[in-house]
Amino acid sequence: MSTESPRVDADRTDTGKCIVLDDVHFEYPGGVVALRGVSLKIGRGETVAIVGENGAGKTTLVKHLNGLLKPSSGSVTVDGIDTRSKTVAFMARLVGFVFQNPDDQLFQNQVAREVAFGPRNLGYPTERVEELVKWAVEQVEISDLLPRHPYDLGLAQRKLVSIASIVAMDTPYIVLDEPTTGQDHPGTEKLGRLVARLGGAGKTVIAITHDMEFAAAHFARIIVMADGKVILDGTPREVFSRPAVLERAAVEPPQITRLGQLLELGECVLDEGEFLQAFSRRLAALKPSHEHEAGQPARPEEL
Amino acid sequence: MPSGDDVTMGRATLYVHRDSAIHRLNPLTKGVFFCCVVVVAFTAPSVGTVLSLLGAVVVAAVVAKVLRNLATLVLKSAFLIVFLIFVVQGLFYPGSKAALWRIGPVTVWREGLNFAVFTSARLITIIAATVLFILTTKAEDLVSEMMAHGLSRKLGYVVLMTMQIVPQMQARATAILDAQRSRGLETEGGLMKRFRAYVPIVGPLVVGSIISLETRSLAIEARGFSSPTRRVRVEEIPDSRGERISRWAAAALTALFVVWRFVSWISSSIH
Amino acid sequence: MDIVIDSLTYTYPGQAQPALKDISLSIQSGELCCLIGANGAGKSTLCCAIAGFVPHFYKGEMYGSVTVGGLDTVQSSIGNLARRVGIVFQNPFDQITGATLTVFAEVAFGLENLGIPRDETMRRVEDALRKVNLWDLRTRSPLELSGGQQQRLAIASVLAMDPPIIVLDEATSQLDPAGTREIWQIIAMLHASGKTLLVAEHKMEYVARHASKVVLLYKGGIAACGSPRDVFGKADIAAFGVRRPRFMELMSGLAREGLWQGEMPLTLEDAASALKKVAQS
Repeated sequence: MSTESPRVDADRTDTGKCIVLDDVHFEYPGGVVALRGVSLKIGRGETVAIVGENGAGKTTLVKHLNGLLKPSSGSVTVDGIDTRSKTVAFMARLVGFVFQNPDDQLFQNQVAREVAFGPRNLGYPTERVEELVKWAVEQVEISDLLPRHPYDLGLAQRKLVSIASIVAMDTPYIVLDEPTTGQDHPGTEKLGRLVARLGGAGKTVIAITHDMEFAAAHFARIIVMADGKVILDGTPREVFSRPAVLERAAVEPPQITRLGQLLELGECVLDEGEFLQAFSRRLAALKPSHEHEAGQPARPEEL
Repeated sequence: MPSGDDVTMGRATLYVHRDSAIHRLNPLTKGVFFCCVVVVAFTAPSVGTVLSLLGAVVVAAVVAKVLRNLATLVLKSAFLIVFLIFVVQGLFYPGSKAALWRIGPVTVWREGLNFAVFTSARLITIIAATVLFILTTKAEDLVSEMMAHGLSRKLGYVVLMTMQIVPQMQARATAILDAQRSRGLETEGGLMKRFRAYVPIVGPLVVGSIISLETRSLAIEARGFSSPTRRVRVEEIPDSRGERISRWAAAALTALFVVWRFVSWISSSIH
Repeated sequence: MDIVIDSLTYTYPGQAQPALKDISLSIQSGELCCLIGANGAGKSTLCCAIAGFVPHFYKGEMYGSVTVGGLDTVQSSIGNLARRVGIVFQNPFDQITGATLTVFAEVAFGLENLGIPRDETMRRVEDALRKVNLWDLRTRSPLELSGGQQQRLAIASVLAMDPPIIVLDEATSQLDPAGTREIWQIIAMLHASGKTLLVAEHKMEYVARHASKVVLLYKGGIAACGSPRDVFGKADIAAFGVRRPRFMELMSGLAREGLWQGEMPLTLEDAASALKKVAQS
């Protein structure tokens, strides 16, 4: 788990290469105000999880990142380019977007062709397209599915195919809208490894998820949204230490963290190892005073 | 599929809700009258008959408080066609003898103009009756009534589902368009680009609709859709004896009218 | 009402491998049985087999038998079985008939088709809508509801038919945590009122908390069957593509370090209580 603030990482790299949202407000045509002044900076190589209940504005926010939605007021720039000045297809070179429903994207009769669609649209030569397809399916660990027909696969596998299709576009930023929904345990593990690989390759991964264990384990930065605003933004440890604020967003910390909080361990624990250490420390701290109060000798076993 | 942000999916329909006697009529009554007006307009002997029919439609629109909606829609749909009719018939009606104006090489004939007026009046009356019917009747209520009076249940539900599906397909098409644009698919620009964009958008739409239809028909099946017992409706649309009588009367009078027109047409052909 | 599955083997049309292999299982009246397992293990297929969709809707090859309250699913029809078995699927949107204009009409749909008298239909619809907390939205169009609301609508539509058995096939997988909690509250309420429930689920904390019986499916066969403690206590459970609730893993870890011992708690709160006692002793 990174002990530094993720924003420091962004400053280290080329300062022009980041996504900047500047006081973004967005209102849907029907009058629904989905974003009420969001300002964010996300740098290259960051892994960011966006959490919050349905209706908080998460999907609306990420749709601004590749220009699918343009702000009602405020601005969104990606690597210095204002999203209002370019088409979505142009922004697709910079920001890959995986939709929640894979069936909105899949239309080829073979997984290989499906994965190749994105890079081909970007105009890459055939050899590069083949390389990218091979690389993408390895990243998502679905190489065995290459010859299959997407509609023969289950929903969770189709999701992995749609993710590979976007990974193959080799964009510096990738947005995943609820990749863990409907996944079983092996599938979620695959996604965790994918996020680590992509982050390690210097790509920025932004994912909307409801799975707090997944968010805490694989993302260096968590953004909590409620009511169209960002109410928390920091490392998993920083974010999950604020249960009162999280409650406003209808977000619960991961189970182990919650257990630690119920036991008032004093520090925010994120996994089993940390819990064991904190719990042992608590027991050690309590033992001497207990024996003192009861007036018992120091080693009761020796009686 | 509703996405993470719950934006209401509106339904595209021309129905306009008002508190009027016409709206409260049973959809079957309105349907029957609508058909009668169309049939009479079609077979009317003179412009006078047609115009009186049009007058009746306008009066009904006033009672239904939808006159402005009616006028706007009729103008929008009929304007171009009526203009073309006047141009084509006014200038080129066969057998014309009485010239009205000459503008250079172009001659406007009286017979042509008369014919144009007659045809346009018929067209406008039919369009007006149709629009009035749609404005004052919920399609779902009509299908529901027809099912209660014998229309096959399967057919009725298929029609109902289709009417609801259309706005959803529109919403889904937008989602698919967004998804494919996000994969670099250019949709604006030259014809060739738009053509190539066709398959990646229509493909998922069709397959998705078929799959959706499959799971929906499964859901319907599990709710006793194929049950042989007679359907008992909870929300019944009111239907009075007066309306039933007026429906039969209107149909009978229209039938007589058609017979009279047919007979006069035959006898005038013989002479 | 009991469910008895005897040596069930089923293959979807056009598939080489069977989706279910020699499944024998009995679910007693009033049990809340949870089906767990990796995707593709056969959970959905088993759910469909109990409702009769397998084989009537999906065709394919079926051997063995599924009996619901004494009624054989192959001899019966989907419509007939629907009176005994209500089923709710993963995607809320695909379960709305699309043939109705209001939430009320949607729930009344099945009862109308069965020719139930008007007064009784009205009563049952109101009862079902109140149970899932949708009575206030009864005049809305089903298509205007959120995913969680649509899922509750699907449950209400099933409840109105008053089947003794209700099957939920990953009904919470597309919902957020708040929506998931709502659905499970309804499941618990149904269990308390005596319904027999079969729930396929990935979110193990809920399985541990509510199930009276857990069935672990792996590649079409039953890998384990028993109480939540029995099944989650299996040391090699990860090999079957399933992970037990995190707090249980933690408790096992604490036990290995000698920091705690005792019966595995089934909820986070119970784990907290157990550990508080350790800290106080």
